[in-house]
Amino acid sequence: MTNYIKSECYRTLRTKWVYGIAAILSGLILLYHLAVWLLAAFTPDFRYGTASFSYSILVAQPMIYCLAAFLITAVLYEGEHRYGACKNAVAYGISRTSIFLGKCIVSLVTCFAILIPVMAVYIASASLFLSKGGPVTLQDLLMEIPAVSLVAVSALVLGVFVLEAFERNIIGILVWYLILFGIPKVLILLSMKLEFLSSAAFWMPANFFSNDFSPQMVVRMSECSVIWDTPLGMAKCLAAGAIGIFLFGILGILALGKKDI
Amino acid sequence: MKEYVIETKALTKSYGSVLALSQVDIHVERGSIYGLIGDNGAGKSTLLKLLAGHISASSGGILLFGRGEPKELDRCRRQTGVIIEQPGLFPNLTPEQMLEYTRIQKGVPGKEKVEENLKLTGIREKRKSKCKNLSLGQKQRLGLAVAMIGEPQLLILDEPINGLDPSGIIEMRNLFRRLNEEKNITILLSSHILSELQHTADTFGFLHRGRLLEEISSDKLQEKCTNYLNIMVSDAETYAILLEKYAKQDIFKVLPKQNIQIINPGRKPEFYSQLASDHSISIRGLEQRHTSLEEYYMNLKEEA
Repeated sequence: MTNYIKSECYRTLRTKWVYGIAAILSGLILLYHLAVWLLAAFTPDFRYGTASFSYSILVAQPMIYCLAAFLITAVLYEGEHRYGACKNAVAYGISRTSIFLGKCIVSLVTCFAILIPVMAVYIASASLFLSKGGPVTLQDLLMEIPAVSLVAVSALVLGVFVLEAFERNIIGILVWYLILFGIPKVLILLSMKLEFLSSAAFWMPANFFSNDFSPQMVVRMSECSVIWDTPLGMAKCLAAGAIGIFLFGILGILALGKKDI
Repeated sequence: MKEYVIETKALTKSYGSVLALSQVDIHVERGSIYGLIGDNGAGKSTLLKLLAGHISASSGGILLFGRGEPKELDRCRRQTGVIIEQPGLFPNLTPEQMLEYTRIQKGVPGKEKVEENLKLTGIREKRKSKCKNLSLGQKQRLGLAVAMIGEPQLLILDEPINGLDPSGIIEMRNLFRRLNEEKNITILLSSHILSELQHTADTFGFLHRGRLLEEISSDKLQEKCTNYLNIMVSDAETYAILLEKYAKQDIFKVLPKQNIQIINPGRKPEFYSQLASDHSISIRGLEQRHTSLEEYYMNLKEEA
């Protein structure tokens, strides 16, 4: 598996889109902060020119990290079926489990490699251009990353699985979205009528991270209370992520182990 | 005792109710070039995919280098280079990068292997082009270069000369022979260009509708691909009696439409026309022919 990971890292370093994503995201963030700074400078009583408001965009929507993880995974592996490069690895005797886990690891490393400069730009430009003060602090933003990390990894593992399992990427994307967002939404709506579904619904990240449904997530202009503020809340985030990684990992290993390629 | 690099035992693969491969037993000897012959849909690619581990068998077994346990098979596949259906290239990598990627993946030490394989397969001038900009033939060559990384003992190649121009075909054929003779690499290749296989392979396997019709060495095939004389006469029945009387050593077949086929005729064609005219049988046509590999395969199919 080590050699497979090394070779995939070699390829990833030569994938222009990986650098493109980092550059585009950093650029957009920089532009956004610049635009907000300009608006704040020239518009009286402009309420959004604060670092707190900027941080709240990420803090209020932790699932954005899952989307980012999937996007990066898709950039790396969306063409697998078309190119058939994975066939060479299988024909060379690398086990499908190693290939699956290798892809997860390479995607994860790539995500972190992109996350670090993007977050650095985010925090630096917010500190530089925007005024301080407000309910959402840098600490909330920094603590969000460990809180959401395992959930994002589980979204990534699911992403590797669906891209591998479905010949057509669009079906894989839909299945991924349905599992991470569709089913939780249906469950939470059903739980309003059927009380017994409530606890199951609130173990799903899209629900317990939701500003609309979760009582532990209140991120507004005037206040900020997040699930990872309490040790129990943080434990729940990590536990849900770990369960997701385990479930989707097992699903991937079992389903792809026998799949015809 | 013969040493087989590939051996299958009653290998069967079905997709739902469609039987793609049925009870196939092939035997690929070490150091041989084995040509797999079959029409589209005969099961060639299915068989090669099973050997490469791309798909799993419905029943039956595979032995690679004499080993058949799943984990052992994976280990044995490390001595194998494969191209099936398409060479499996990343479009945005250059051939040089593609080979380096494969070298790292296979854990082959020494970057010079990349250069060696680029040279070996004649793709060196295109080393810096993106794979997506290569022609089909160049992709095939690069695919072979990728398969050759790690100096495999066995190459499994599905239609490897597809898309090559005539000189490319000759170069590739020579390359196969060189690899086989100099490095003792066993090669299993399939092709729909039967005459091409006839020039390259020393053993043949004929697949038809998922079944292996025959496995035969090129020497035996040579014997079977015989000369024959096809004579169209006015009265085939009487002529057959005459042949039995005057040309006892000849083997012949009475075919429809007053045709008689004499296999490996022992005498010159004039003898047979003279025999007919001496007994008032008119000759409507006389043709001396040689059974080609194509015809042999067609006959096999008809018999099946």
